[in-house]
Amino acid sequence: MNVKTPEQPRSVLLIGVRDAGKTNFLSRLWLALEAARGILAKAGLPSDLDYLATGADHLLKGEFAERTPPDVRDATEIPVKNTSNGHEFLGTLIVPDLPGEQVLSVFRTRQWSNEWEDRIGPGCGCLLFVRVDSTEMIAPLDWLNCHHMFGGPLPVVPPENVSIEKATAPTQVVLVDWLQFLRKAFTERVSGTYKPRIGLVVAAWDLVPHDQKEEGPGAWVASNLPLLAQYVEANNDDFEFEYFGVSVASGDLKANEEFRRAYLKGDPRTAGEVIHSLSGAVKTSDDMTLPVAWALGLAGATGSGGIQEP
Amino acid sequence: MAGGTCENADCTVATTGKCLLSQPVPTECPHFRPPANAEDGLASDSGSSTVEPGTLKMPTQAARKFDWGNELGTQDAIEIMSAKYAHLIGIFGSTDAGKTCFLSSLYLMASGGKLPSPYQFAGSLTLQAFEDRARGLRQWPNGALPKQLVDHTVLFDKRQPSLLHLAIRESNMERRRFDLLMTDVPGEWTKDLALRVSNAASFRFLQRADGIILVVDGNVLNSDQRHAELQRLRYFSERLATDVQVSRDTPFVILVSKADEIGMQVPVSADELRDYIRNLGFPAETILSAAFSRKPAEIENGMGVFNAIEAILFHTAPRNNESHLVDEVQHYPRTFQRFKG
Repeated sequence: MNVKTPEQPRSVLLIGVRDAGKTNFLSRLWLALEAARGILAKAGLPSDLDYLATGADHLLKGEFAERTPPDVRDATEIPVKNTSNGHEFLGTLIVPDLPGEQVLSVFRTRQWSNEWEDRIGPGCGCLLFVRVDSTEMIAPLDWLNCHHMFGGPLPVVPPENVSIEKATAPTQVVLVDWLQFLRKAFTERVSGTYKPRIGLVVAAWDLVPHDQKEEGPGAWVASNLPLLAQYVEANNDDFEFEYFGVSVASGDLKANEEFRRAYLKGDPRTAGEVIHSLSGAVKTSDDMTLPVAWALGLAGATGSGGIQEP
Repeated sequence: MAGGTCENADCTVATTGKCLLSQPVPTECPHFRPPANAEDGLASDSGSSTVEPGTLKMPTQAARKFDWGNELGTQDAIEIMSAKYAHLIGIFGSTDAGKTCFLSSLYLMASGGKLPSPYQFAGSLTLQAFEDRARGLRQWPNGALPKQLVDHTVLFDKRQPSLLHLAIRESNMERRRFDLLMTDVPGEWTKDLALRVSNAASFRFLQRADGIILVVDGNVLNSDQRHAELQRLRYFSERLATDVQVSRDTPFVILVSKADEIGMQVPVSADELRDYIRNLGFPAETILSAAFSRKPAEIENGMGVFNAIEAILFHTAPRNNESHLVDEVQHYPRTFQRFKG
């Protein structure tokens, strides 16, 4: 096989509020790149391995990686290659794992710095994360939980577990505004006709109730984050969207000790699964590089079946 | 607080840590300036930070700035209308008639994926403004309010007469997109125009309007106050016709709010108002609405809200003709500019 000249570094931006599952996904991605069983494989060791190795260590020990502290900025550069389907790719994958606080800060201050701006260009893809059962996910408002704002009688007590903190924007509002930011930035830095690939990643997919799993991650987002789901559907001529469900361990390492023992008895390097609909139907893959490969244009979009150059 | 000052001379954030403009995170206030030696929370290449976590996230030099997400001013609206056709809808009514409830209910329908089929939420440049209204955070301030729509609004402005934006799109084969620009003005405006012709200049932008929604409280229309309310709205409508010179093909919706509290019966006086407006030469219809239903088991929340929007969108059906659209895209921003006073 001939190896092509290394391509320009490509970025995949990981975007999500606090506790959205970005760090664990990145840790699992690194283990998958090392194992070289998926679409993407490592093409050498990153110059700075500390962040990735620390996260991977947690997963190998049967525990989830801790979330990125607010003052940490990691722009991991991973030399990667792809040899699937006859398409060759050799390049540097830049996967910045920025803490959710910064994602929220950009939303609140309505501006971003060069660190974000410089990543926006041709070939840049994004993965937007939400995590099932995250206590940091702010539920959308509805008539029930804001009824009292208008002075009328409350028909019933607002449901439990629904945050109505006055100053906190619902997660779906933050993510829709982020998509609007990205569209504006891509239009001005690349072109108005460029369709960036945006993967919507539902992390901790194993925690989704069984009866909802069949419908796939798109249906889960439509049910839990309807504003985001509708924005995605209504703007699919401005972006290329795809939904993924990811589970870095295929079970709960924290709450299920029995599962954890079985996980460690097996091969923790190759655990995890990705749920996707790239071929139209909901399918499960053990290739944890799939969302990143798709965001880079190295895996087919729904219906296209092939590889799309960015 | 890890140091830093405010551009606003009256703000004591540097010493008290409290933002004059009540920003939950003072360092995120646009007027906050970090100390000279502080690192940029996002832009630095350094892997370490000397700044207390959570205290400084504001980039000193932003590479890109986005819309505030708050209300839009007339200049913002002109920019939108320069790029695409937008439906301008004036929403008026007396104080507490239910104008804010109408806007909030429309937003909650979008937020909950409950817009009637085939419509879907397609975007908004004023998401934060909708959120603030739904949370009761954006009340009209006490004291005198501006007498015309503002040019621009920014994050720290108090609520001002302005516009809210909501884009919807059909999910059927046609996939038409509608960008709605809806006014958010205080009830005093309705009263002021009725009383003084000198206020007509503030309403001139309505010559470009695609529709007008007059919100009237159903309880009021069934009470002893109905005669005075009806008289006020007759004055208001007549001013729009004669002094503001709103085009006679502009559809009016008389939106009877709190219809769940009046047994879903159209008050006789609502139809009297509709007939009066029709006699002025405008197309007009009455729609019952329950933006926030007191009896959600019987009458759905948001009932009638989207019907009012649809009544306006589809009254202007000829404007969906493409060649006409091109003309409007070029023409209306200039027209709007001329009207904004």
